[in-house]
Amino acid sequence: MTTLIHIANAKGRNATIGYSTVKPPASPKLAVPGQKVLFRRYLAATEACTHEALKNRYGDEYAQALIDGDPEIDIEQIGATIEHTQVVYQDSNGELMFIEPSFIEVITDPSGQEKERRPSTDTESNINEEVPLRWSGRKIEITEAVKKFAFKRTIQLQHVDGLTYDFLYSIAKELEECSSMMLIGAGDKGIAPVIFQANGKPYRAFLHGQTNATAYRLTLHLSELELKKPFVAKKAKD
Amino acid sequence: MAKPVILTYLSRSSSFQPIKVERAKVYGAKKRIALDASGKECTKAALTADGQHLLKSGCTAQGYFTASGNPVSRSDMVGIDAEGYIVESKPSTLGEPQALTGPVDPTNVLSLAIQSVYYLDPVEVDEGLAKTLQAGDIYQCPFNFSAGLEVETAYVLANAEGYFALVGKPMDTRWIEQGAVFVSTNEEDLGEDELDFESM
Repeated sequence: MTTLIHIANAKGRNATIGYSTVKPPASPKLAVPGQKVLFRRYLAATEACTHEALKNRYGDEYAQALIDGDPEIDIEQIGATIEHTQVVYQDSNGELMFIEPSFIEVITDPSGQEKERRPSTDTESNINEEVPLRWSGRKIEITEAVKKFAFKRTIQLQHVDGLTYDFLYSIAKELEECSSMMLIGAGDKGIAPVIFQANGKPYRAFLHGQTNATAYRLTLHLSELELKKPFVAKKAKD
Repeated sequence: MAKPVILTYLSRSSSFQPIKVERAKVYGAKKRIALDASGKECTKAALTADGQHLLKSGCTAQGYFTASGNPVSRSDMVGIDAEGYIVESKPSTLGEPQALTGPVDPTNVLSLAIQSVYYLDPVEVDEGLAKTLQAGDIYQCPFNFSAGLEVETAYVLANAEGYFALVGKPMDTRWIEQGAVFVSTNEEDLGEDELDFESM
């Protein structure tokens, strides 16, 4: 995956620069003192022992059949570590498919009710394309932004040479002076969401800048959620 | 129902019911479904690399094991931090009064790696706290929805929709000097599901 992003500044001058994801410090991990512990996925049941397979073989009440038959666990297979797997599909008859299935999207409203079914479309990444991500011209004060959006991801922008240092430093300075964040995005107006990878999640992206002597901090705060009251299902009355 | 979030401001307590804010509960959701040639729904499964096992839902499990392959019970495990020290489990903060500190600089909120967002449904709110939050002030307090190995940070704020707690861990960005060299690394997956605020 690329770690380059193509953006334009307020004047429409563009450059391709680097980025990295900002992460919090590592959390404590569960372990046994003085002993190496591994977390792994393993085979717990073969295809012949799934609920569906047992139901087909013995009927809905297969528990008694298992008690009566007292089958042994297949120790050659059960417990085997599962590492690399490939996604496959089974058709409605349970047969393995050797051609790619078609996909649809099912849209539901906040209450979980289905609203629409439509053909699935693929989306491309748009962060490092010929047309750069542009400034939308929509500035938002930091106080207002943090009360309106949940920024769940942050990436930090970094220059890749001397020219892009000047480019990013001046953007950071400009944003710092107005104590605001700038909505940047794809499209002519810079308001289309930013997509980091093919079929990835679209984000609204807000640029925030700070400077300190000759150093700068330019971060892109990504949000896919506004701070709004969520739908809460009403409990059925007794 | 979860225990309430109890916040103390100037020695006065306010109580809220936390409701997790998720995209699906605000905008709805989008699910991608595979169809076979007859237009009927397919079942997703996994094939092991050696082709020996077709893994359907329920065929696998996961857990902790020693290097020699023996399972390790969760109750035998403890939290260990990056320096190798044992970390005690921290209890949930729900139902326990948490002192608010602040108001904080709104820029601090940008330095929070948000893990969860809660809508705080007011049960009983002190007038002073309501006033300061509605005036735009943001406060900070410890927050753990359930017991864990660390205590997270919550920023409590209000907007026209109501009261919210943004919960996560503080993170640092670095100052970048002119001489800094950018090293391209493989970025982790930034997620891959549905989209936008409403229909973007």
